[in-house]
Amino acid sequence: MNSIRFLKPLWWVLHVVALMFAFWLGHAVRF
Amino acid sequence: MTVKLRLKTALVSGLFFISAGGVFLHFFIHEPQKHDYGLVPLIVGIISSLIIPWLFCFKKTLHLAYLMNGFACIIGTVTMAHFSVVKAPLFPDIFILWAKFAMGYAIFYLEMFKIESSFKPGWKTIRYPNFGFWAVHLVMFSVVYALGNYIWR
Repeated sequence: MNSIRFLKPLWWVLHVVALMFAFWLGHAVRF
Repeated sequence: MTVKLRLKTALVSGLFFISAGGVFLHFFIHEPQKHDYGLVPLIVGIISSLIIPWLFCFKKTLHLAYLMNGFACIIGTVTMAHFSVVKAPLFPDIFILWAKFAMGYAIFYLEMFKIESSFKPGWKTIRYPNFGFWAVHLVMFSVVYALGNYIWR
């Protein structure tokens, strides 16, 4: 788990960024 | 060269070829200059074909590669499923994309666990790095994506 240990304290940040990205992607993709 | 290393090399190159195929396929279908979202398959595809196979080569970066590979597959699955619902069925492409996931999964398990070992994760399947973790993230990503599509117009 060494290479992702630095991600652990960023758990909340990552999830907020991922939520924002998923929400934006849903908005931006208009086929 | 051990058999394990041969297998790993084959899988990493497979990962490169399948992702590079995806990049070109997308690039010729929807040009990034025309649509904003055309940049998403381009950027994710370039990361998938160049950076992820390289990260899979080293034990130190294996987890990072496994995470990035899984999320690249989730993004592709959700957007192509959206396309399938709205325009034309794209499930063959989604199936090909999950072959890429399977390759990453194989490299990860080959490197992390003894080949003859066995375990039953049970409900722990929803925890990283088991398969349920990906299922949960696929569902949650789909929900937020759908909300973005319906609410933010």
